[in-house]
Amino acid sequence: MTPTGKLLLLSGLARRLLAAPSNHSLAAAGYSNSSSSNSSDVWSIGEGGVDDAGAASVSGRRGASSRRAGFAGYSAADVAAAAAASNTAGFRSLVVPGLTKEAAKPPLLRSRHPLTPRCGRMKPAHSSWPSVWPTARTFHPAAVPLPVRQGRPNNATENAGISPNKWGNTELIKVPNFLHLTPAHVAAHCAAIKHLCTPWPKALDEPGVIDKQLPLRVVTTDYLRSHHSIRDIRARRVDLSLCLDRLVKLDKRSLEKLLCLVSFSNFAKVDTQFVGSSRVRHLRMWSDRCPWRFQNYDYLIYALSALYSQSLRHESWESGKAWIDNQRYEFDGSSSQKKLAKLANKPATNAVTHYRNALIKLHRQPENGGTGETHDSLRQYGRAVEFLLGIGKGGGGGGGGPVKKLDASSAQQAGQTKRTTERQAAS
Amino acid sequence: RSIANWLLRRRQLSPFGACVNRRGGASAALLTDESAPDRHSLDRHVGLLYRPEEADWQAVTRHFCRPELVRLFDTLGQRALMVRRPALEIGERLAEHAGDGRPCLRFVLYGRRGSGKSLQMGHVASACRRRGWLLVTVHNAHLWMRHSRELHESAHRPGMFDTAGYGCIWLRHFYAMNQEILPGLRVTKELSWNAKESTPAGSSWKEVIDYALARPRYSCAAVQFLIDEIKLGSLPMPTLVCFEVANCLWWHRSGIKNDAIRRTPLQGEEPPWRADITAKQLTLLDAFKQLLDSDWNNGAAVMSVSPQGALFDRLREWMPRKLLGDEGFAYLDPFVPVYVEPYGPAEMSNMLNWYTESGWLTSEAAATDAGRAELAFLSDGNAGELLRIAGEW
Repeated sequence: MTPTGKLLLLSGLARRLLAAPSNHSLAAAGYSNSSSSNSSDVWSIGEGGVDDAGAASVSGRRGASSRRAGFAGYSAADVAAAAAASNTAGFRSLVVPGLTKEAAKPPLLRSRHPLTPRCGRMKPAHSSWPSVWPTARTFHPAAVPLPVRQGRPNNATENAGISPNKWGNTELIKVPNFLHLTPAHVAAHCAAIKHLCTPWPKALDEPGVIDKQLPLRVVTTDYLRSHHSIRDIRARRVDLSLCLDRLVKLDKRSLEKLLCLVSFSNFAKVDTQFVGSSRVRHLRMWSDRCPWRFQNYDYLIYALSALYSQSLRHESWESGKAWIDNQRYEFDGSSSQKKLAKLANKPATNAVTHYRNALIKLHRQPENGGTGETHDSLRQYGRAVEFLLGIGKGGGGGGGGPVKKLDASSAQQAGQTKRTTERQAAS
Repeated sequence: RSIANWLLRRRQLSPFGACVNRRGGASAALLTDESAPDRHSLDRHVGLLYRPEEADWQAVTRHFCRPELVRLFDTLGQRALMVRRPALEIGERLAEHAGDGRPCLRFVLYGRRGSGKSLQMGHVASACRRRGWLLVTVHNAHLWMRHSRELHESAHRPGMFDTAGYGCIWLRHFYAMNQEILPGLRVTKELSWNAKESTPAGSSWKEVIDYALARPRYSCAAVQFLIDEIKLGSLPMPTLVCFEVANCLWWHRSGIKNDAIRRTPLQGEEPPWRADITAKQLTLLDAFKQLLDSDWNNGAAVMSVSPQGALFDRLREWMPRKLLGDEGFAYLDPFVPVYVEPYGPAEMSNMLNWYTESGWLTSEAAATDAGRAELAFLSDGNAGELLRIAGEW
């Protein structure tokens, strides 16, 4: 509302209150409102200017005093007149600051109502948000044209039960804002640096080409944390993975040494996957031991280089490796092989082969080519042992076969021999 | 057609596939009259129940049963055990290929808890007893490792510990099991207990056992001497060794601490670092472990592995290689693993019929098809679970 409009309103209000109280004590004492209008220390709100104001000013003085009567109840003129009256008697009137009702202070020139929302006052030149908020800055309630609220009232009486608005809201100032990273900002940044970029190579879109061209895969994660600190300790972790086939110059012994070193480490492992019938092994490493991400990355590159170079290097004392140090189960050198020598009957070669295969299948885990311990592998082992020891359904001594492959001819021959001897004995 | 076959086969293999009886409800339990376990055969008696003879039961089979089963038989006033495939297969192998100077065969029974490993061992043991074999059975090795009874340092094996109490208990049990055979057995060499006392060569085994029971201090030494005799292979009959929960022999924990002896250290000797006394340091268990080796003739060993042997570790695994570990497997290799399966449909049906007939299953629901199917489902074919659950129906 314009100041003029407010004046009209007030004058209208004044006119309604024009009927001045007549039972006033001062009036009864003979002092009327009209006489008090002579005093010059009566203020009025905006004298002069518009016709309405002029009309008001004519009756303004009278109206002003009536206005005063409507506002205060006592007019300053009455007080001054009373003071003047009492002065004649030689007494000063008691004026206590704060208690004695003084003349009302004039209202401020500036209105107490807030400005209109900024979105109504924005000019077209400022309509691009990236130009208003180019970089990261602390939240400013006047600059951000959004009706943002933050905070929670404790009860229904605090702030009328609603969240506090953005004006003077320290919580909004404390937390980080991303008003400098809107899609408009990102588009502008990308447009600015696009002339420095080259197009994505189409050949890399084919499956498997990226793994071939860029074998080292580094994974890092960024976290957004809604807390008084935006840092997240998990962001320092770096994962590195590499297909073992891509490490050149690794012969069988070096590869075994690498697997052994990896099995001792607490930051690396080897994953085995079966793609069809072929085995694919990945070396996976991770590091979160350093406080910063690039430090962890450097450490992993160093660790990978150390693993690789050390596995290529063969020390003289490695020849002292025992059977128990093997990465996977080996039949040669095992106690089972030594026990074969202690068997009473020397077993046939194919029996030993069956036994060896069954043990390998039982002991080796799937990633090493075996089955691990399952009912099938145990049953196969049992059959192989029966074949080895010459027990089971194949017949006595060392002439038996595994249960499925029954050597029928040898059993029949044995039976025939037995029958003939019986007949001979009988006869 | 293949799907139909698969479904049919699955129904045949599932424990409650045949519980739905065409005639409706329970039918008669299938018992066999053959009460001699050594005459059970694979083609005739599998899946049937048999009633063990009194002498066999008291001497042999009773020790292989859980206390709950013994109490059940006392309650019902009758005993019936099922003839199953694993025991018959082992029995067949033993009959053909063990004894007569052949090296020791090892069989390891494995299966879930409650699947019936001990009872299968009991069937094999009573069959061998009827054939005249010598029985050496150990049932409580894992309990011997949990508590110590009269633990003291061993004199006949320095550095190891004797549990005299368990030695005496075992000798009494061994004597009771082999009462008919033992008087005929003689010791081949002189057994010296200490510097002053010895038993001369040629004395009977009964004398050795009596001496050890009178002098409990030497009970573990007596066990060791008898086992040495067995390993010589010169006995007139073959020996069967039955060892329940064999995997505790290679377990790293036990309930006995090495300061259980509580004696003051000698001069110049440091008190021992507090540690578990494992089976390697207990003479009694080590003696039986020697019997499980393959370097002796004229005998066989049947053992079972169970998570009960993994002391102070709640293992859920029941496969033999995991329970035995590397060391145990290497020791027992080559052995024949025998799987004790859950009940098949015919076995489950027969068992439920017997429980109904004998009066163990009292509720009316147990006689209906749905009730029997529910029992089969809840127990999942496990014999021990079925016994426990049927007690509530």
